[in-house]
Amino acid sequence: MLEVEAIHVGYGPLQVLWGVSVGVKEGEVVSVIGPNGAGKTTLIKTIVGLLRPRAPDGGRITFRGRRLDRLAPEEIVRQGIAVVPEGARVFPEMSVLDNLRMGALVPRARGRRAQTLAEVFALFPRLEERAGQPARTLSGGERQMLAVGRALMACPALLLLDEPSLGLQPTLVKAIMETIRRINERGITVLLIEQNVHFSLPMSHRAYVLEHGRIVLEGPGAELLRDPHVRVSYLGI
Amino acid sequence: MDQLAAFGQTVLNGLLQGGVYAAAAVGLSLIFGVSGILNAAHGELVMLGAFTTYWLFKLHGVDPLLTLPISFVLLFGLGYLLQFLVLNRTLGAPLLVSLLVTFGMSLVMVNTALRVWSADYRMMAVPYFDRSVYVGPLIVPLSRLTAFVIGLAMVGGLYWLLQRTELGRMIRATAQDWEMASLMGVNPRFVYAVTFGLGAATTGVAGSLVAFYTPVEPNMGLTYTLFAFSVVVLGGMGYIPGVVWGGFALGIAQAMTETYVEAGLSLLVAFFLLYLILRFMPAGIMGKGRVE
Repeated sequence: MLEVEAIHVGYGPLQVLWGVSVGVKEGEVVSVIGPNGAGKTTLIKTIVGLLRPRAPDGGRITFRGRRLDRLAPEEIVRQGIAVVPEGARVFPEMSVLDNLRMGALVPRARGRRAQTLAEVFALFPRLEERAGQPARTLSGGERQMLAVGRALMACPALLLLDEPSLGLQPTLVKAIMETIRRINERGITVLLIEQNVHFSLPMSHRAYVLEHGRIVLEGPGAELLRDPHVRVSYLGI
Repeated sequence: MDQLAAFGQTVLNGLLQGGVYAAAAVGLSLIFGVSGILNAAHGELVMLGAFTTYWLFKLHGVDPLLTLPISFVLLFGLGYLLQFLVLNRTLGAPLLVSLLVTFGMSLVMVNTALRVWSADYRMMAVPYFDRSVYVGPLIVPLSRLTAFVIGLAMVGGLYWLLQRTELGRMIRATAQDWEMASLMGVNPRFVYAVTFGLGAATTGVAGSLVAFYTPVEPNMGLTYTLFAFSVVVLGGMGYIPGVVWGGFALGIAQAMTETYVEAGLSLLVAFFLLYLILRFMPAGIMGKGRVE
């Protein structure tokens, strides 16, 4: 469904990703793990078009057979990709409801807005309670829920999540991971960037380990969880 | 009693002028709040709106009230194109760049206007605007009352559009986080162009309203740039409803000065208020503006 093929990406003279390839098949949960500064967020930003692969041989990104790496972000999300960015990045001065409405701007989601909104409220009742509040008044966990809800409003085929559990207390981390699993069960493909490998790997069909801008390991999630390198580096065992 | 009436009349004059100031400033606030552009050609948009109304009335006999939508549409188109073709190239550049570019635009507009329309002062003579409404001892000129009501209604309409419509949500989202807005499917360059269009359109209409009761001339823009800037700072940078309070504050302060000190000090009053507010209340009268 999503093919990231040998992309080289950087900021000015600083190259961050070196020939990274990642594939996601329809219906999967795929996670990418790696230390801070490995290039995980850069990978997400490149997929959605906020960063470009280096010209001329920076690799290619295709989604359902269509090249993404030359499209603008607003065109990429219209293909059926939604993002929960690092730090949630909800619109702080807009109400919770308006944030969710913003999620449903893409043509594929517009007509189904009322129905999707009811589904999102069923998934996160807290958001319905706070519908009229400005998003800046939400707690960290609620912002993360809002960011996930906003992404779901786009009726995406592929959901990208960049560290949705960052800074949340352990019970909330568990709840968010459980929500992601349920979202996947509804048929939405998930590409997840997550440091909490303890939660993320067991539910991932496949996973990649990204270090220093290169993929160093890949395999089924459960298998990677038993890998000695992963256990030492990410679980501290 | 006479003194009281004079005082009341002064406050009333200030309020009437303040409503038009609010209309003339709201576009500056909108554009700054969304795109981070300080439009140095702002007053020239007032001038162009004023001339639109003047010439349509003078040459084609169009009722001044009917020129307002024409002014709106023409200035919207101009604003949209200026942002789309020119200002979008300055996105991400320091504030000074857009300030210089818009300053250049203002020079082009003023000098073109001088060339084609000459530096003459021109005043519309609209029969039904010569009348006044009398409220007790107070006199309310119909032209000013009309301008006041339409000006404030326009500010309210713009606020409604921003808060309640899909386009408004797109504009607010882009103002708060344009990258995230683009990930919602919004084209930020389109939103910036529409925003500049709306800002220019409302400013042009304010210019049309000004033409109801003051002479029109190519150099009139600069004072409106300064007034609008003062009003926006008084109300709070980037806080749209603040222009109403800022407009009233400037309008009343100027009217007071004219009545009790000396006429012709209106620019000085604007600068003095600007100094006071920046010194003591940098987030504006309501404390809701942006401080950087």
